[in-house]
Amino acid sequence: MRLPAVACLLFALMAQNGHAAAEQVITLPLPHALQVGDTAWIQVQVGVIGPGQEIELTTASGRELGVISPYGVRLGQASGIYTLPVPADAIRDDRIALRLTITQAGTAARAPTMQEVRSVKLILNRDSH
Amino acid sequence: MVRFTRREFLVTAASALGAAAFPLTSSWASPVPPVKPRPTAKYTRHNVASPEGQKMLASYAKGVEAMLKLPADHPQNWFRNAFVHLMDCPHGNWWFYAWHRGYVGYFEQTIRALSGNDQFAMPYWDWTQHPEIPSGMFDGVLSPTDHAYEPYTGNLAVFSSFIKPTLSGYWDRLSPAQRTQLDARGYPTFDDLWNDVTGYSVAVKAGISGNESFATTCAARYLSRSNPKLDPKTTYDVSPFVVLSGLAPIDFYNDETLQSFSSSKTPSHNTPPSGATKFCIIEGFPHNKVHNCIGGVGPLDPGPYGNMTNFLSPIDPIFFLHHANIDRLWDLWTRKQKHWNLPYLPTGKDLEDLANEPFLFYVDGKGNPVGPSKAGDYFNTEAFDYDYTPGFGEAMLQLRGPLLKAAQVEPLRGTVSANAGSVSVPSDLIQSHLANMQQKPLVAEVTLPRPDGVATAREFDVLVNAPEGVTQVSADSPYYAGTIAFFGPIMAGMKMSTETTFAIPLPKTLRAFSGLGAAKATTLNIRVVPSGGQGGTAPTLQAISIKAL
Repeated sequence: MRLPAVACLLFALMAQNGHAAAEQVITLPLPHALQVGDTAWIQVQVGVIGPGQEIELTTASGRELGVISPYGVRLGQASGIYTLPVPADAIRDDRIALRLTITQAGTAARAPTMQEVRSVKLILNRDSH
Repeated sequence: MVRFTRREFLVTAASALGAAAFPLTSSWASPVPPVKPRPTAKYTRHNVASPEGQKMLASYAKGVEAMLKLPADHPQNWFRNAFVHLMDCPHGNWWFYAWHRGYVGYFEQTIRALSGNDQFAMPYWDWTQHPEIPSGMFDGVLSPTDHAYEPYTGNLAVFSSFIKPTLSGYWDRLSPAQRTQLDARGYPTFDDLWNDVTGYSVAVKAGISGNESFATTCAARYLSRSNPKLDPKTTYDVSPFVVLSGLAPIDFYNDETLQSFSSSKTPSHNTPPSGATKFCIIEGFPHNKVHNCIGGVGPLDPGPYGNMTNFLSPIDPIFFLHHANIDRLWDLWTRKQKHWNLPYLPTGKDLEDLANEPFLFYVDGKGNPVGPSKAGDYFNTEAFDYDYTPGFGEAMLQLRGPLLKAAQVEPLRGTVSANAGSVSVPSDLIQSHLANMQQKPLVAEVTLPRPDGVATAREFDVLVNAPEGVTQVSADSPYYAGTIAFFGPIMAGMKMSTETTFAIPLPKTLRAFSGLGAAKATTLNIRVVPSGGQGGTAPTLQAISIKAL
């Protein structure tokens, strides 16, 4: 039997009242230290974002973790749930410091609002038998 | 059931993909070792970077040119073909792979018929190995910015007068079943469909440039001959680490996204993505980001974008090379599953639901409507009798199958001194490694810095218990464990890790494993030396550990 997720952390994030913060780092602690067989994943639930907007995920030190670039989403619809693998060495001291940024040319990069990114989960996954 | 864990898959696959070793922390792979193609299919889809792929591009251009010249009321007209995608393509659901296999497959038949090359097969663009648009895709009609497109896409009025009347007539002749599917897609009327061409929003009573599927000729593709590279973020999303993570799931569908090879299970393939949509990795990252990067998301914000960003993306000929690669990854994943004796499709009711979904809009190579077909018709490549030459990821098939699971062993961490690592391994673990051919191998994890820009050596042999004077070995040496191969220098702007860990499966033939005797533990001394007389010096070892996969 496989355990789909041995740990899941839901993080309430970003600026209050839907206003964007200029920049914000969120720190997600692992529920336990990574063990043999564990893999770590970031799962982002994206709300409504505008055409051409993307959400970049990096560590606090700037290491790229991936870019969510919605395709095929109808105007005004939420963009869905995206799951990214996290390199083990992006995790330091049993935690990951994460920066989410809304990017769009011609405007300053900024932190997403609560309407744009509804949740961020850190998932540890392990298969067992 | 015996299974590989995801981490085991990633580490193992990464090890094999890099020939002897592969950087676990880097986004760059060594070249894939040669693997002979399966010699069974009638047609072979080649890597566009190969000589055979380049020949196919020449035929492709002939076919595109012929399609451009067909009248608007011909089902194989270039733009009519793109509207099949706009009207019917699934995204964010588990029909994504099957529908696009059918779409590319019938398109390939059309190019075969119109190019005069009866052996034509769509070349694929392996963006993991080559993260830039192939140069041939900027030549003539293979770029949607070519002057040949101007009579049709010079501006929206030109495009509308060319295609809209005939498309409206086509709409009026659609079957009730097709109209039902379009309803589900959000197109109850032709005007609703056309609004996605122009970007007009009924809700806001205004045009929204980013939602406009039409692109004028000069802005039809953002990337250009002088700027062909995928940007660094897109390059990351197509990197070995992300792609291997997408290939790792062992279920075609699983409610838990990270264990699912496909995206959400939905009522219809026309169900548009919404907030509940779970994108699998292959669709959500390499697929999406390549589309948007080529279309200019970012630099062209807030639009209008090039064709690739919206649902008339097949107007850009690069679309079919991109999707051939996505299809190749599905084929590779399927063969991996078969190789490991794992199911490659859902079972029971899920399989029925998946297989029986009607696809109603395809046009075949003779220009005839395919008629009602089902998703299940496209579950394997036999539907169009083709296979692929090897691309990134193929080497995973050289791995052994889902073997007996090794007892989980915490990594045995060694010490590093004077650029040599030393680690004590319990003899019973080595004996288990040697005795049971079904056992997963012991692996040395070697951490070292990536050579800097002035270093000449890029490949290093890993030696185990080699006498002090031994600095070069051949592959059959009893001290040789494998070769670490860096691919390229640190890329400017890539934020690449300078410290890299490689996993090297330890050969059972190492002299260090012979004559274990009665000792409870055996010390493995590990050194790294420049490979094959490259000269230079080896990077300074950072860490050594031994683990069982």
